[in-house]
Order: sequence, then structure tokens, then C-alpha cells
Amino acid sequence: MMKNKIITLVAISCLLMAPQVLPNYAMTLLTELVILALFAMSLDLMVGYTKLVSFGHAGAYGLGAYACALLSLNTTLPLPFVILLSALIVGFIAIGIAWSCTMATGVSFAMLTLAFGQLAYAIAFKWVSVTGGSDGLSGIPKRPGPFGWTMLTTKPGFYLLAVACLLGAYFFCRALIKSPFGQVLRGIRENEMKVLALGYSTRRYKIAIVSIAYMFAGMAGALYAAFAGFAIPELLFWTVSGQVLIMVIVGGQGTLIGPMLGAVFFIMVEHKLSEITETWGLFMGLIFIAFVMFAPNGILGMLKKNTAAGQPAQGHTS
Amino acid sequence: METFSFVLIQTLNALSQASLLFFLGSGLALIFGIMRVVNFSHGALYMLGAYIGYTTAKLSGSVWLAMFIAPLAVGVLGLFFEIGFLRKLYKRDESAFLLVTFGLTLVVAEVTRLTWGAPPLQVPLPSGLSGVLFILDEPMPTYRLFLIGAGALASVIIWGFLERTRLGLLIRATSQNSQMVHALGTDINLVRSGVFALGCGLAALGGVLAAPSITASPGMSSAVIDAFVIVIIGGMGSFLGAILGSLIVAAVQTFGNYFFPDFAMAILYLLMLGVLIIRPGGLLGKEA
Amino acid sequence: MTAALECKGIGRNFGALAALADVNLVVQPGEVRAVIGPNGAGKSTLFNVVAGVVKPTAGMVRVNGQDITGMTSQRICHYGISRTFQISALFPEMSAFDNVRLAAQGKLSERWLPIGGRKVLEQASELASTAMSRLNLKAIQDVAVGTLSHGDQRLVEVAMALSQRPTILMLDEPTQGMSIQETHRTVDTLKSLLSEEKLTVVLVEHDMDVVFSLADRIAVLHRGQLIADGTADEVKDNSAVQDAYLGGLD
Repeated sequence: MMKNKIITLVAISCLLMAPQVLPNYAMTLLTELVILALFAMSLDLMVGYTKLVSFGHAGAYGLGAYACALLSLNTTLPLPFVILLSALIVGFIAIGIAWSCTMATGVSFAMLTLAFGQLAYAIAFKWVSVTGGSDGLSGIPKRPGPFGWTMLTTKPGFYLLAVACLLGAYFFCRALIKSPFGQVLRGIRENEMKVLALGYSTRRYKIAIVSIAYMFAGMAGALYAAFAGFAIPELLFWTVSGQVLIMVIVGGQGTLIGPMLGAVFFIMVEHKLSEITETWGLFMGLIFIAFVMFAPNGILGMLKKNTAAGQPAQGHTS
Repeated sequence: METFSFVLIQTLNALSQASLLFFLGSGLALIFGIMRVVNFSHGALYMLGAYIGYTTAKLSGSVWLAMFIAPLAVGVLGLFFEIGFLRKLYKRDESAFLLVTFGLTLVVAEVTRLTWGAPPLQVPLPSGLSGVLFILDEPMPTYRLFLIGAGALASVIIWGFLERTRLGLLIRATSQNSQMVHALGTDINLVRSGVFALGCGLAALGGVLAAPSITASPGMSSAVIDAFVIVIIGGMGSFLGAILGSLIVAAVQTFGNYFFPDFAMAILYLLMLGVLIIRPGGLLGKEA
Repeated sequence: MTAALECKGIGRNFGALAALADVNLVVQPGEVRAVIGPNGAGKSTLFNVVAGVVKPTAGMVRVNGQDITGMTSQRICHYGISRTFQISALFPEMSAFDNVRLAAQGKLSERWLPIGGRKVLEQASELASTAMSRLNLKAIQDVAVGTLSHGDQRLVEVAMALSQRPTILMLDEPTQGMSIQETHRTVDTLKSLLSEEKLTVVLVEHDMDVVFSLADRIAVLHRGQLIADGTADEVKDNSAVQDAYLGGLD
């Protein structure tokens, strides 16, 4: 346990000190990574902890981006509030989506999430008056924070906001996983029928976790829109849902940290391979299949196996 | 008379659309019936059918040949994939299967993009069907009438095969109780692989038939959603359900696109949700 | 005294097949009731009707006077019925302790936010601890349940049901698949458990030795109907019961 705490502290320190150390172009990449790490971690709540595979997570991401865009362009709210409010809006809408999708289980659930994702994409495309259609919404300002904090309009400042969101979300999720609520999710993951027989309304739990997952994905999307300065329909397309799913599986599902590693892996591969070959997407797909078939615990799982600790049976406190 | 001719024309349009959807959906229904898993790459195979059809037509000059080669090629491909990969996943939980077939979708999409490029490709209408027939003074492309005929013929043939032949009986029995069928001496794996290949071939046939109308493009792989909507409405694993589902979805799409073009998609999803609430197994379904 | 469990006129048809017909069963508080019968007698169906897995087509089920007929198993759990499954239903990757704790938690007030969660977990842990020591399972509590022996798994499931402090503990063939030693051990453990606390138990079992060791009264089903109901001696001497088990094959 001590070892984990030290690693966490070191990691957080590195993240916080990065702006002092890294050059500008690396900061841009790192900011993008932090945003994607949040996006991927949010999906892990569903896929890794509750075994709810989703092909529509891009819907939450894009929704958050558009919420941020609309709020930033039409109000004078400072950036941190815009991000938080966007996340809450997406989480709220997600309750309805989650209610619909949890009417089914397994594959049907996954396909319903896909359907909703595509629906969101179609709406973003067609509702031109609100979403700007295929052009999307651009010119999103990075408005200075409350109390006249202009730091957020700078690159390092925005980066720290993103890190704050990621860390806040991470610690929230960790507390959630350890709580009684989290225990029920574990049960649902391993034997939902038994959880029902034990007296739990499993559907309510599923709706809750999906809404929370969508909320954090929305937060990531809002950060992205502020980061990039625009929101476009492509953010909602199912291929984006596929990419974040790859990050979760390849990184290591059910660990919160694994998907973050997956995000790093994905972006690195994308950047490096796309310089060499046009076929990097193909390799990504093959890597994904290989991981599902042969390394279902992802990169983090492989790393854990290699350190002597291995995979202990879950003790009291997990 | 104007309303009548309008309704007739739109109905014919809907029927031709239903035909295409039928090929797409029936494949998924058959695969689900026999394997209890959803092949996420179904849409990608549909797309592949269109592209292989395009190339065959280009090389041979005959679209008719393409309609024969494409399903065959994709069916064989599906067979190899099932034997090589998917068989290993039956023992694992269904999400593993879903994820692998999802990965397959990505791979097929990328291979397609690399081989044929991103811009849509036009497949010509088969010779002899490029004309237009006048029905009640309204023009109706002959190809659409052909599609209606092809769909009707295929559904009758397949239904007959499932209901009236020994092999069909075997398939239906396996989808209801595979262990029993296995105990009676049949190699389940062969039946499964065969049905899987058939399902893939049907999807590809749908793709190659659709290609002249909608052009071969990378976006086609999202057709898996349509296939799924059909199967959800009609009933997972039910062949007749796939026919019914195709008709319903086509009707909603055709008339919906005419009257509420921006909401047609939403209407369809609402319909699917409605069916899920009222009859979770689908209208004709027999959920496991 | 209100009966702990009352089944009146329970009938359940599957199409044309009457799996249960006019079954009446009354279980008093503190009683250990076995339900036995040859294969196909309807024991599992009756069990599932009471536990809420299957709705009866006729009749009524009451727990402590409250009508629970047709309720879902999830709701029935809160009316005091905790059950085990014939084929072990556990959470394989979780430790035995975590399994039982999750079961105990099911009857406590729900905590959705992480705030206040620690108290609930402590409460649940205590209940789990108690249940596990009463069943002599302390030694394996940190082992992943999927790796336990079959006998241990069946006992963990009983612990799960027990930790919910049920009004009625329903055991579905608890010794199913066990070796002779495991069966003896299970019976001994259950006997000492029952001697410490007067639990109301409904037990479906095939193994007659287990039944005679544990049960106060025995109900015998045959082809969906109740053909005998009494103490072990009464049932052993009942000719209808002898016929059902040893007699005609259909």
C-alpha cells in the first residue's frame, strides 16, 4: 500500500511540474493526453468495473464539447464553471440515455449505446442553427477564471486546469469504487443475477454508473473543446467511441489507471506510426484484437504480472 | 389518383429498401440464432461486399458476376475468421466476442480504405436493369423492382431451406438446443461455421446489391446499427422476424424520410426503444 | 403464532404440464422443513415460486403474514427470504469474505454516495464475519471464491444467505455435488449452527441422510402434489411415499 501511495505522489508531482520542464509542443501533447486519459478512465467505470461495454461513449464526449462551446459562446461564465456545468449537463442527459440502454443487457445494451451515439452525431450534423452543422462551432474563447485569474488563458494554466479535472475525477472514482456502491458494481460485473437475488435493484446501479461515466466523459469533451477551440460532429462518431474503447482494453480495464496508460499508448502509436505508414489504423485494430484475445488485462495487467506482486486474490479492503 | 400513385410508388420504394435491409438483417439474425452472439463486423462485411463487387464488376465488366462473387468471397472470409479466431472465444464471455468482432470491423474498415481509398465508388447498374418502368405515369427504376423480386425470392428460398430441408432442420435444432444436437452425433462446429459463413455471405450480398444505388463508401459499415435495429424489432434469432423487421424499418425510413426527413432516424430509434419496452424479445423473437 | 411461511393452493403450469398442483405448506418459526420427492416432483419449482423466481399460476405465498405472491426475487429478499442456489451462484474473483459482505450489505440501507459508506461497510463486515465464523469458514475468508473446493463454495453461499439475517433461510440442495466427507462436514456445521440459533429453514434435498439429520418435519412431493407431510418417522412409514420412491416409474 505504501508503495502505491509513493507512486501516486510521484506521478502527481511530475504532472504538476511538467510545465516548468517541458517545451511548448510537448505541453500541447501532454494536455491532449490528460484530456484523453480522463475520457478513457470514464469509460472504464462502465466497461471495467460493471462490464457494460459501450460503443457510444463518443456521444458523451461530443456532447460535452458542444455544451462547452455553447456556454462559452453565449455566456460570460469563467472557464472552470463552463467545464463543470458542461459535465453536469451531460450527466443529466445521460440519465435518460442510461435508462433507455439499461432496458437491455449484454450485446443489446452495447448496440443501444451505439445507436444513441449515432443519434447524437446525426443531431449535431442536422441541427444547424444550434450546432453549426458540419462546420461545428468554433472560436471558443478561453475565458479567464473567477477572481480575474488570467492564468487559465495560458497554455500551462489550461494544462493545470485539465490536470485538476483529471485528478479530481480520479480520486472521486477511486472513492466510489471502494464504497458500498462500488462493491455492488463488482458484484454486477461478476454475477448480476446473484446481485438481484441479494436484494439490489441492479438497474438503478447501472443507470447511476453510466450517468457518472458520461458525466466525466462530458467533462473531457468540454476540456477538449476549450483546448482545441472548436466542437465538431466528428467528435461524436462511432470511430471515436472505438478509439476510447481500445484505450481502455489495451491499457487495462477495471483499474482506472490502465485506461490512462492506454490513452498514452494510443496517442504515441498514432503519432509515431502515422509518420511512417498510412496503415497505422490497421495495426491499431490488430493490436486491439490481440489484446482482447491474449492479454485481456491489458498493459497494466502485463506490468503487474512482471513485478513479483502478481495477481493476489482480492483481500478485505479491495 | 395522385395520392394513390404516391402511396404506391413509396410503397415500392419501401419494399426495395426492405429487400436490401433483409439481406443485411437476416444474416445477423441467423448468426445470432445459432451462436447467441452478435457479430459486430456485420456492417463491415456488408461494406466489403459492395467493394469486392465494385472490383469484380470493374475487372470483369459484369455486375451480375459481381453479385455472385462478392457474397462467395466474403462468406469464405467469414468462414476462415470463424474457424481461426471466433471459435476460441465461445468459451469466454460474450463481451470478448463483441470486442473482437468490433476489432475486426476496424481492421476491415482500414483495409478497405487502404485498398480502395476513401472517396465513394460508383458501381454501375447490372446490364438489362438500368432502365425505368412507368407505373401509373410515375418513373420507377427497374433495378428497384429487381431488388424487390430478389429479396422476395431469397426469403422464400431461405425459409424453405430452413423449414423443409434436413440441413435446415439441423440448423433450427442447433439454435434451440445445441448440446442435444451434438449428442445426437452432429458436429456442431460445422453447423456453426456454415451458418456464420452464410450470414456473412448474405450481408455481402446486401452490400453488392445496394452498391449501385448508394455507392460503395467507408460509411457503409455503420449499417450494423440498421441490422441490429431490424433484429431487435423483429426478434433476435428469428428469420421471419428479420423479414418483418426489414419491412417495418424500411417503411419507417421511406415514409419517415419523406414526411419528417430530419427526424426519421430518431423515429426509428424510438420505435426500437418501444419494442424493447413492450416486447423485449422482439416482435417474433425467442430470446435465450 | 403466525406461520413463518405459508403456501396455500400453489399451482404452477408450464403449458399443459402441471408442475405443481394445489400444494399447501406451512412452516412455523424456528422449524427446519425439508421438501423431498423423486425427480420431477416439483421441488425446485416450489422453491422457485417461494423465492420469487417463478410466478405461481394459482395460490398464495405469505411470509410472516405478508402476501408476497408473484413478487420478484429482488423484492422478496427484503421480506426476509434469503436463498442459496442449486448451482453455486457466487462472485468468483472476489474473496469469500467480500462475497459474504456484499450479501450482508444487501439488507442494509443503501448508500449511493461515498459519504457515509464506511459505516455501512463496517456493519456489513461485522455481519459477514459473524456468519462466516458460525460456519467455520474463517480460514478461507481471503481466498478467491472461484478457487475454493466445491464443498467450501456451497458453504460460502450458505454464509451469504445467513449474513442477511433472514426470516427464512432457503437452501436448495446444499450438499449437491459434495463428496461424502464434505457432506458430513456440511451437516455437522449446519447442525451446530441450528443448535445455536433457532432459524427457520426450508431445505430441498436429495440426500436422505442429510434430511433425517437436520429436518424437524418433511414434506414429500410427487408429480407436483403434496403426498405426505410429517415427522421423519411418519414419512418413512408412509406407503404413498414408499410407492413414489420405489414404485412405478412414471
